[in-house]
Amino acid sequence: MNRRDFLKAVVASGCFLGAGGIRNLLQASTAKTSASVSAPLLVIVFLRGGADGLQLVGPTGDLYYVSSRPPQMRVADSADVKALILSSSLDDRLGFAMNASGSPLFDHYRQGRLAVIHAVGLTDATRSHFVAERLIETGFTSESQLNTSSQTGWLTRAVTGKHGPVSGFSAAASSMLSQHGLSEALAAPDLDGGLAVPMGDTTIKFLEKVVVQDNSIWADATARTLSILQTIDRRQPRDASGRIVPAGMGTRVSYKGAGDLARSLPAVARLASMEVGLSVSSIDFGGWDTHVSQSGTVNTLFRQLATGLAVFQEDMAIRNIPVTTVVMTEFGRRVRANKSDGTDHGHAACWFVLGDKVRGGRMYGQWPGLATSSLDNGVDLKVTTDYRLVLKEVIQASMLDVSKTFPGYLPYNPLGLMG
Amino acid sequence: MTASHDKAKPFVRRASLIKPEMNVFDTFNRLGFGAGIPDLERFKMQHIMAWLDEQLHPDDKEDQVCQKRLSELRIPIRYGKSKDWPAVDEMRPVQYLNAEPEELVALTAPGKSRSYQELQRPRVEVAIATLLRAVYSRWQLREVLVDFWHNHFNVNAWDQNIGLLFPVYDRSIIRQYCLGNFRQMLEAVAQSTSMLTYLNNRSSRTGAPNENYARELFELHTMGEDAYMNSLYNRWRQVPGAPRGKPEGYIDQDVYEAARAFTGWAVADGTRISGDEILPRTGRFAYVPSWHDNYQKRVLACEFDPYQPEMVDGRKVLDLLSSHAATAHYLAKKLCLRLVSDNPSESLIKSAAKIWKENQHQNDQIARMVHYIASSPEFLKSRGAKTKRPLELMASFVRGTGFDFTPTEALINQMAAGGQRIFGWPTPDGHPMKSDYWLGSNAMRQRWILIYGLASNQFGNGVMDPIALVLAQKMTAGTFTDTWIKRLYGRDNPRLTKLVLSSASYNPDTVITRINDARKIVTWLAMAPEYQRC
Repeated sequence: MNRRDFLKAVVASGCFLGAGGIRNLLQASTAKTSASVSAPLLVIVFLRGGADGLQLVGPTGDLYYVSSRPPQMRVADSADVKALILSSSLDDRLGFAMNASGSPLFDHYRQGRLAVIHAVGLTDATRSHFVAERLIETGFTSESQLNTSSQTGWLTRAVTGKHGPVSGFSAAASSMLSQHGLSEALAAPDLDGGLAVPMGDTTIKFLEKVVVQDNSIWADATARTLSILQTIDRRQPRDASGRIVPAGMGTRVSYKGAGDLARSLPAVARLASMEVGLSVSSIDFGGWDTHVSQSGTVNTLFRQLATGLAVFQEDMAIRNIPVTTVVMTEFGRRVRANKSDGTDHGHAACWFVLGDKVRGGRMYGQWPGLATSSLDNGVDLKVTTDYRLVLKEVIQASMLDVSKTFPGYLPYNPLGLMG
Repeated sequence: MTASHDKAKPFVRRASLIKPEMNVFDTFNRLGFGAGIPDLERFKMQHIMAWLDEQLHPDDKEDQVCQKRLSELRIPIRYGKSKDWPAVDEMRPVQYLNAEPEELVALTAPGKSRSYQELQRPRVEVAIATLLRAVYSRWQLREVLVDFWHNHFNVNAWDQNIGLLFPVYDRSIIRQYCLGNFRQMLEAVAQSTSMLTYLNNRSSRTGAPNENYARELFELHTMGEDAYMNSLYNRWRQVPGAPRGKPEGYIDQDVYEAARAFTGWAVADGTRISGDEILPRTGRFAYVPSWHDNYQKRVLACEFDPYQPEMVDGRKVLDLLSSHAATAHYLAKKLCLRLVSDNPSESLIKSAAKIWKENQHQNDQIARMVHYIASSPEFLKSRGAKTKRPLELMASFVRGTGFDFTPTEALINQMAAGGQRIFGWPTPDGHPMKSDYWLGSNAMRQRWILIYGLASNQFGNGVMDPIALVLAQKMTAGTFTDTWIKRLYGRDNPRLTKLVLSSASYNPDTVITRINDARKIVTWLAMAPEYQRC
């Protein structure tokens, strides 16, 4: 069933839609179809803290894997845990499988919408969260660049020339570094409370007069905020009494079970429906810095991630808005566990790309192996795929500007991630 | 300014006319939490340097106003009943600020069950007291430094495992050493239950140490990320200076070895060590020899012999780090970033680092560097160079208006919505120091809501009556606005008066009588972009 058929079926059944729901849905679909030959929205979900890729997707048949970690920190292929074996993996002899908590994502893999990129990351040797996150979010690969270049985010550079009223959104209290320097950017943990200004229009008029008086960064921030808030607040769906209808509630899908993502993902979906020129969105999903008692934490977070992304994919399909979602993290974790039942900072990670334009159902990259001699510094999974290669192909498929995003980066061996 | 930046601006700007010289009012904004009327009156009699000297030697006994408010503080607590406890709904005095670790860990003693609200209480009390002190403490500069060090040695006390003993961390470590000696402070932090828990060192054991603390000790607490040379060198000998025993930076090998040095630095939490040997459950630091890795180590090109006496390995790491040139530079830069501007000059940083190094064995090492920075020509010409974070915005507004203020959890939540999670920043780097983080579209809007809420008592902090506060029963709107501009900005600004009154549709000659109009004017004055800087 393609998206259009699915939409028709949903409308025909009408079973989980209120009357307003159908109307909104129809509006959304008619408004969007004409324009939606357009580029997919690019959504970045950043797993903060360094997600342990080896507990998310692992080579269950690799003896080095089995011997280096206790069972609860592995993707297990045993009778009591149903392993989600990934076909077209990096090496089918090694029995690559996905953590059972990720089954909603596994379904997308089987249906060809999810790609898994393993042993991906920074070629820089850093094991610092802050340096690694900053490198990735500014689109760099070497720490020397952090001190010398102007630090715009990689997403900011990718949306060059695409300025709508709101080109970028960070579902957080503050804009993410990947959107640093983007003027037409909104940051808000969600949109449910509305974006009203205290005392309304009179305050807006006062502040608009004041900002004419000075050219400071504080006046710039005020002017920018006023412009963005008004653009969005006008477009928020409201009920009969004028109250904003909370995103992700009372409508098509339920984000229940998605943890913190149940707040951010529906906000992205709503903003994308507002036709404010949204090209990119950034979401943080934290809690992955698992130095202690790792296994339960990672399983729970991965279940929330998989649940949230699968619902989001469905939500966006109903809204008829094409989307590509990249799940990234700053680095993976140490192959061997520490004595706190956790893992310390490692190197290569596992990333995911989900969307209709993705050539999914496959793993991408090269498996470097887990024998000590194959490891980075003898302890960590080696990076065999430069993270920029993944992002470059995603940017191209999103019809964004790849030329300025990673200056000087000329990969010679494309992954072919996007169809 | 880039072209795309210009395009986004719907307004034409006039050039800023701000002069960079700091006056009394600005100094209070930067080295404190804004100027109140008593400060300005008192300060006229003193030279700024005399005030600075006094601030660097704070004494709670000479701060009766704040101490009295702390002792009279009541914080509501409310929760429903369960099978283990009755319902509670009361105003309760602070009780944990001076508590010893034993008293705090008793709250989670095995077999005892307490509500979430009771277990959050130690952290909530410290947070509320912090807001109260920011507004009322006479020792304003100490409060600024307490905030600085809490962010430098950040732990996330919103996590209950860490929040439980947070009063001890705040009182016996951050407040104790905020103007003291860095090496002493570093060891106190390393042995604090809060940090041992937050960065997991308490579970680090010989054989497979937990590197979390060791890594952040290098990167965030001492040498700083600029000294992390892992991408350049992968053998310790290659680091410049290492063959002479003076490496310029550190690599992962140093982190691994340091992690071994701190194995056995743990918490007396009732854990069974072996057989009959059980740690007492005191919540204090404990060194467990059998968890320590006794073999030889090498950190920063310095050889550690095997089987050192207890804790010598860890202490030696702290010695090496606290005396390293990179640490002096990193701490000097951070303090300049906090006290002077987002882009302090390299010459100021270098000279401040020199003061730091020269005084590394002094008990008032930190105070001396703060004194140096705060009396530098660069500081004295840095008016308006920093952005008020929600804490400074809140406190400077309360101090400037002078209304009778009571801090509340609702206010803490609103500050968090504006990007400042008091004692709840999740990652060990602490809140960002530079302006851009604080000036995003959401953060700006939340600032306006913060000011509006304070002015109209939305968070239960007290009634602000702008007419009574300036004795303005018969004032014209023009005089009223001028008076308030002077109070909140420390200077006249006739142009702003005109703008405010025209926006409020007020004739400057009309006598102001309605409290809501008066509130609106004061609220706008503090929402204006100029009020967001300090």
